[in-house]
Amino acid sequence: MNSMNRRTFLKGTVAGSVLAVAASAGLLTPTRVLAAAWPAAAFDAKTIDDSLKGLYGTSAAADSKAITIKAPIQAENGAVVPIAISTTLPGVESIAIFVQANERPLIASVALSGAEGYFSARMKMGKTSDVKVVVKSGGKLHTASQQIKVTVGGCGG
Amino acid sequence: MKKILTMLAVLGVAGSFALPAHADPQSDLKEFQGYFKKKYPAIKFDEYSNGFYAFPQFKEYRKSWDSYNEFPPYELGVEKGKALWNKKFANGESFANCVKKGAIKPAYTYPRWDKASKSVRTAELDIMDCAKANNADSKELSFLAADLGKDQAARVQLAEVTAHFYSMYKGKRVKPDVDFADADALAAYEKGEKYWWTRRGQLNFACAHCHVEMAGKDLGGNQPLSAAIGHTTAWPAQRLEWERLETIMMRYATCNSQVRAKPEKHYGPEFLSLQLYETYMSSGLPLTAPAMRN
Amino acid sequence: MNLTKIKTRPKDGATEILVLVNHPMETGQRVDAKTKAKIPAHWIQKLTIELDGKVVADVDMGVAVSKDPLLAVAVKGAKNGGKVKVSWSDNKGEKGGADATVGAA
Repeated sequence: MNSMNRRTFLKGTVAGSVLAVAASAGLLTPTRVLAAAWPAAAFDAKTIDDSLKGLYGTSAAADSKAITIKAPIQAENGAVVPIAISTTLPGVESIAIFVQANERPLIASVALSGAEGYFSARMKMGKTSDVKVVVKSGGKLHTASQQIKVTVGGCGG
Repeated sequence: MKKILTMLAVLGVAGSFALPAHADPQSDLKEFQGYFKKKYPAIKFDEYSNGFYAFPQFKEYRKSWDSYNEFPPYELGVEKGKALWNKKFANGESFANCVKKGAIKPAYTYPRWDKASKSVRTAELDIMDCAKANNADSKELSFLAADLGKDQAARVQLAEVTAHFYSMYKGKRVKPDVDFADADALAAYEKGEKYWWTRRGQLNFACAHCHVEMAGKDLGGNQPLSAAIGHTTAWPAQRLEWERLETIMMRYATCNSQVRAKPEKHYGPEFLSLQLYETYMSSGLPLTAPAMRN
Repeated sequence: MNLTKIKTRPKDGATEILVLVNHPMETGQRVDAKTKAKIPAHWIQKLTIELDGKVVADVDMGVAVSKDPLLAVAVKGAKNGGKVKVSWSDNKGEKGGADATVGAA
């Protein structure tokens, strides 16, 4: 096991236990084991930098004007904040979304293969925050961000 | 126009106000819709069916709303409602057959005045009666045996079935089936009208305060207020904070809680006559139910 | 039963594939009003979108994706009649998915 898997295993995080249960139930096929595991450390991280290191091994990202974020300036309700990312950067490999003020900033990340540099989702925000988007293209990380104001938080009941 | 402004003025000063001795629904309707048409000449009449999203000052919120509508979450609830709607009862009958036989009327005619029972009937009531008349299984349709004011799961199930029913009439113009020549029907209308214009709760607001006087304002920066006309056209609806389809009765109950008033009963005489009055004031607007709401 | 719905539509010269999944996406922080206990975290972790047998998008999600997740990606050159397949799995090992055809109503 490489160091990240061992740390995950020792922490006994949910992802590790799910794999353990699945394996013992004989549900894991060889192809399933080879497919990329859910990046528990990146989702657990409390800072964007730590999360980026969990996803890409580095947090170095260059500001890019070639990334467009379509998201409200004022969210109507923090439970369902729509966000759509598009980019003209070539050969996009992945797009990740972070909400700075959330306790664990990573919302979602998508690995793209033969798809456009486009990703749309709806996310929960606890309070007003910068939303940071990171795009992996040409082996490098590129980033853009936008503030979204939230007056009614979305993480409660 | 003059009557509504008078009513608002009286509301502002005194506690409640005294309605004229004889209600005249047709002229009330003209005045009520005329008030908004005159105050907001730039808003197209049909747009009122979209709630506060009709107001140009809320165009930022509208952008989010437009993106929800690309694939609205209520489609999941409607799918569940559709499955229940299409499933035959044990005796071979179905909701669709109730529509064919006229036991369930077209959605745009609700609420309707039922002469035989001397009561206001809404779509949910006729839907439930159709199921009960055919001995439908209340283990499957839990809303048949539940306290709808308390049992969220049962109420949401009813909202989903009703939402599917309404979805088949989207765009049809609201025309509640009420014969105002019938004194009992007129009395129900008057009861709803009185409710609408009466202050309630610790906050001492009447429906008219938020939805006539302050319509188009953003209360406290995060509570945009809709106009009264177009209220009922969206229901059953999915509010962002609820993240589920709900009945209009639930909205009436929570509106009361928002002004810190004790809500009346779901499907009780007060809320039924309120829905009758509100819907009549939306006569001619297109149905948008089910819809996303704030 | 977790419904998964798929829509496709033209977008800027490509085909947008939109996915809507019925899932509670519980964060693990919400408290049950009756029992006063925290509702355990229950969320979709992975969701893949395939077009004509090839994976075009592999999504990793956390608890902060909204309830009833909506996700969308776009693919150029998708032909009408193309086969879209969505599969997902959550932290409890539950799975779901759906199929759709590009350009179907």
